[in-house]
Amino acid sequence: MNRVITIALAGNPNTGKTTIFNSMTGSHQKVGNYAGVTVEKREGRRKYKGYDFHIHDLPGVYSLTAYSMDEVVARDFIINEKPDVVIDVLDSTNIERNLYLCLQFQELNVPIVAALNLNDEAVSRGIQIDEKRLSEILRMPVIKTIGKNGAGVEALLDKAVEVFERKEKPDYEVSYGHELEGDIQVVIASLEKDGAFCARYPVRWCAVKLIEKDARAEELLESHAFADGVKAALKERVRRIEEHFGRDASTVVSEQRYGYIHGATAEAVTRRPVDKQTVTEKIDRVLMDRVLGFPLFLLILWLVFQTTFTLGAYPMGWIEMFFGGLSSVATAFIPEGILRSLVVDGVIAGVGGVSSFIPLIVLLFMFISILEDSGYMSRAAFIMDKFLHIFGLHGQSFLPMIVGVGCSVPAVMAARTLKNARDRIITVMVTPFMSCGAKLPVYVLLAGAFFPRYAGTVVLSMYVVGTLLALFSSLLFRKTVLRGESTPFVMELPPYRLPTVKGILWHVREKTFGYLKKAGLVLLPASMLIWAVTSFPKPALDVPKDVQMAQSYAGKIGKEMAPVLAPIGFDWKIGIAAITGFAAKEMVVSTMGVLYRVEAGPDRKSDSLREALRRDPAFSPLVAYVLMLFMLIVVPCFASLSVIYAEIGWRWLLFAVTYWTALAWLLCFIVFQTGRLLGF
Amino acid sequence: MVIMFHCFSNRAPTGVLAMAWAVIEKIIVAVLLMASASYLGWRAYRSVFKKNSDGCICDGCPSSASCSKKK
Repeated sequence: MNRVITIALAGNPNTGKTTIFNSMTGSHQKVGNYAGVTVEKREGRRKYKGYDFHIHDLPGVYSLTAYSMDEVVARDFIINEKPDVVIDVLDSTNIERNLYLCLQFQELNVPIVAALNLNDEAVSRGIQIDEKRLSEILRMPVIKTIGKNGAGVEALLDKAVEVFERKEKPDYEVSYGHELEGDIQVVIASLEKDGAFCARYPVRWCAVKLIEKDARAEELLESHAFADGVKAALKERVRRIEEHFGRDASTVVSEQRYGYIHGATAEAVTRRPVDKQTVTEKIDRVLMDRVLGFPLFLLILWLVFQTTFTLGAYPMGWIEMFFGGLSSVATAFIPEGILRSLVVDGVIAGVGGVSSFIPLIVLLFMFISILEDSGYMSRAAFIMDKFLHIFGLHGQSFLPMIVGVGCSVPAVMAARTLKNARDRIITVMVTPFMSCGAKLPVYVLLAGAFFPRYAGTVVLSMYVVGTLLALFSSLLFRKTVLRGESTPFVMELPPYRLPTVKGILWHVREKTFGYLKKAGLVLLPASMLIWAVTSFPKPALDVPKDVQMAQSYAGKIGKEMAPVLAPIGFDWKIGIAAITGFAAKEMVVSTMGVLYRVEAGPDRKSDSLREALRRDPAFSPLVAYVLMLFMLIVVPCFASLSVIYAEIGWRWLLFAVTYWTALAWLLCFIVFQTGRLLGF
Repeated sequence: MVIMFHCFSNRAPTGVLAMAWAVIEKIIVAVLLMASASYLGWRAYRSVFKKNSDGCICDGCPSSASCSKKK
């Protein structure tokens, strides 16, 4: 039987941990060229040379001081789960900062193998690392890797096996200098009085963390049998350190760590002066320009949407033709009756309506993944940072907002990287304003039907309005229910990297399969139910289809809602479609597919949904725009709500739902009534 | 059989076949609707109270493959 080795893959954010994780396990987890892609640990497996590797990809953290939830996840895993080997993924282009975390792992006294990742980039910048020398100084194996092509990954596994089989306690020696070492030893001596405590937690790490005034270490100390004695010794030592160095004890510890790192790198790292500007610097001079940066960001987004629409229109037409043909075939094969109606007007109209947007989803996410993987998205966050500051958010909040363009669920979870609970609640409440991929089919359908020449610009306007609403809402929250200043944050700007075809294909495949899965598992059964509520009860007399639908259950519900919907320009059918978006945003399109195909009749089966919408007198370009706005602002889907509940609790969720609903109705009312007065 | 009859004769079934078909199609539609409602209800329940088999709470959303596991 294979022996099991538990590996923790840890390191700073954006060092390529997930790329190495994918290389090791053959899985396809999302990677991105920005910090904070992984907010929770993931597990993968690999069989290698008779061993079963259980590999855990931990969130990227800068230190093990438990400021944010991702740091707690990483730290608790190493302390409580006690992995056999920690593979610390280091960014070779920024070795000093990365070694800071590595030293903290050494203090935990866990077996470490260091992966010097992004070695190719380091070489191109004139950085040469002598891994043998570094390994001798730090007393741990060091392997050079290039995650994107898998170079060095097997050597890492080999070294992990070697460390695992050696079964020796690591022999690290992080020196804090003569002065501080004396104080650490005093605290260690007082901690060692409780044998059970020492068996549970690494004593040296506890001593250093206590001197750093780490809140979590102080919590752990409460379980110590002689906690009062340790506290007295600790207080005395901290006072001495602060008097001697003239600075806060945590600053002194941090300085000593950097001093040790400086010494180690001085011996093992050589830097050849590179006098020419790097490619990243050259590109940043244009894209990060104070004046040009923001207009260029908007131009890039506009190009993305316009290209998506122009290129996507052709395959969209083919898919519409396919479902039109399928509808004709079903009509020919199934005798007239409720089964034919269910298949043609329910299933094909509903699922077909949504499926035709697959090419647009593929193209949009292909462009977004190119922007993410190239490193431009981090620049976008930097450009947005100054705006976010004005509105009481900071650049770190922009990451969940970027993720929100894909799906609100991981976006809400990405807010965990925010250290301050107030910032986290605000970010969670404003993230749904970023239009997720599921809202895109609704925008595309309505913009394509009512603004065919300016569809790209109209859809882009939804993203701009969403961002503005997120900013204004956060300012409002900051000034009222969640008062306080935003915490400072330094934005990390990774170098530009050429996105790999493999990486982009993974992203696109992931989105496409996700979309198809949803069409099959959610929208198909939901379309059948919507067909049922729009088809029953059957009228006694043979009446026109629109009259029959108005008398159906859906029609009755819609008419009950008319007093609320009429002021924002919606008739009962639009209202019903909008409500179904609560289950999943794409449902709005499939519901419209069912509602408008039912009305169109058998002679119009080959018409597209866009044409059917254009023919409906209840619709106009103004109503279509208001409906897009409504979908943008109103309560996100059910899956997002359950995650928001898990993240911020039911009180804030209730507040958020009330806020989103009220804001959606009020803004739609203002836009619709103003538009009507202006004659649109 | 009814569908084949409809395809080959290109006309709606008559007589006993029509009566049988009227019953059968009602049963098929009722079963499909009940199955859909039960399945969606189960999904809604699971998304609030349970994890999926892979521990992911949002399968089916566009980013499901990148979705992290529920804590």
